[in-house]
Amino acid sequence: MITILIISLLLVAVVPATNHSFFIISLLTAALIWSIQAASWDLLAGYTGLFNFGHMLFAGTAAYVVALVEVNLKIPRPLVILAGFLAGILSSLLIGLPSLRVRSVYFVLVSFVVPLIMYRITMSFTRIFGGEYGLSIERVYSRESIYYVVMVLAAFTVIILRILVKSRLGITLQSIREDEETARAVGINVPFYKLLACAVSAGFSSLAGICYFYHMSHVGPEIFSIMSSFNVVIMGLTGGIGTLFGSALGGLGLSLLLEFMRPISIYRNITYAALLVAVVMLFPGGLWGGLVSFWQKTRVMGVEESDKVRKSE
Amino acid sequence: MVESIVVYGIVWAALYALMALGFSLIFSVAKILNLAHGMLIMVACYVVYVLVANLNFPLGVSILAGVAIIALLGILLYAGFMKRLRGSINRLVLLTGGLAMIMEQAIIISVGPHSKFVPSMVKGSLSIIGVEVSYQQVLSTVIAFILITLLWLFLQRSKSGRAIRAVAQDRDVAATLGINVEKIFTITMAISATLAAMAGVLIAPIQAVTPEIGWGMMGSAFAVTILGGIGSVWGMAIAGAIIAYIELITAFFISPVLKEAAVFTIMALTLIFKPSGLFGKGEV
Repeated sequence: MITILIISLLLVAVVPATNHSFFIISLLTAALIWSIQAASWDLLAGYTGLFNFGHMLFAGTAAYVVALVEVNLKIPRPLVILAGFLAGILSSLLIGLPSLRVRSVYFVLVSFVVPLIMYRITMSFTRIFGGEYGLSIERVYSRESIYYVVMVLAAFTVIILRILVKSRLGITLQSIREDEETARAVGINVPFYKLLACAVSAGFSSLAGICYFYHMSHVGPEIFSIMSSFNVVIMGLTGGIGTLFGSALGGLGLSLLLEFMRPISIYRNITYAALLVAVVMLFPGGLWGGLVSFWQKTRVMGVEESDKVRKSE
Repeated sequence: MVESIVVYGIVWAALYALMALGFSLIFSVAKILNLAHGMLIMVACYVVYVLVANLNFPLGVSILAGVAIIALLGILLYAGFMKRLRGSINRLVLLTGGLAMIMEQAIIISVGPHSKFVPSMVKGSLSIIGVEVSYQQVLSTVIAFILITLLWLFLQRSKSGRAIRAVAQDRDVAATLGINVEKIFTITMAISATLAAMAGVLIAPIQAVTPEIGWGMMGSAFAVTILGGIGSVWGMAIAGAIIAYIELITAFFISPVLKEAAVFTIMALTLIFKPSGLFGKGEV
């Protein structure tokens, strides 16, 4: 909690500190948007056990709906945003519904396929979606105001998700992750909760996606690309599955890393993929998870004891 | 024209079935959802291309080498990576996803992202019910069908085949019967990779080869597996046919862009209404 406040203050301070630097603010806005994606991804992955390989479906759908309305119709902005928000949540049904009656692991492949379809559609129906150039509008909100909005949204996301996972709903989701059969057996309506988790995850992702659209004043098919959704997976995983804040930090950190890797961008994707493999194989809890458990062990038991514990694991 | 759909449908039915069989085999036996399967197919295409175009090997040798290399790659990936995570199916899927991405990027970085051309094994074409079909397409289809039949015979009749089916049915009971489950896993992975490689070398000459086709093939293999259900080789063949025809019909009568959407709809409907697939045996 306190960490969030401190980080928020730091982020606010960045604006005057860098003299309203366009570059830094854009960078941080993007990084924060990614962190929201990673945190909302973690709700499904870490807490419900559903690994979403197509997370950007939600954000992309929301962004495109907002874009389409902005370009083609004259509707008050709050309604536009609402439309995008709802569209993003509805898109979660595309992945959620087919996955209900089968094992959670199928979710991965189903979630992987849907954005591909969206990619193809937005790429190819050029008259409606603008093809590879996507849809653009005149700048509506200033970069700085979007930055503040995204900052608040990020904090809001982590806090709300935190409250959610500690609540009855969160415990239900975790029981589904642990043992779906038993959860069903004790009367938990597993399909409903899976869909609910998808919807919540999609909700936050959509809001972030809408912010992305207004930030860039543009959206293109690349939001549905494989790498885009992969990024979310890598960020959430590296940050720490099942630790919302960790995933959010993963999002923040990795997207900043992305920026620094621009000069060698041809190696960027393969580095990310190798990172994914390394994290999956070596640090199942992600970096945050590793850090937390190390911290807990040394604090509670003293270093000697924690060495013994680690050896026995 | 309807005739061309009928004829090309047969070609792709066989090829899709071949792609799906490798994927579903390792899934039913070891519960590994190998997201990298599509990439193995793609890498096979590129191995042949590189050997032929850059190193000037004869086509026949390149093809054999391609199959061998991919089979070996599959075994290495299993032994080096997948084996260690065998307990956790979710992490396995993440792992294979990462491996798939690494393979795609490795090809992009080394050979380049642009479409490459792999020469046909046989040149020329013939006319089947008025449709012009290349000899290569016919050859690919026939070989694919032969391979499917061989696989079926292997699984039905041979001792190893029966052992594989036993492990797929019930791993623990198979172990108590004296089957070396670990060895079966490795053998199955080898077969799966070989099937992927063969699909790759058969498809390479008849379609544009780019690194990203791996993902499309992964999607197709998965869709066919879902539709066919796990446990029946010929069920997979029929599912391959259905998916192939749905794609062609959608592409021709509606729009080529919506091919994948149509296939996905079929897959989603299957998952919602008959999750075990049309011919599936066993739980999902």
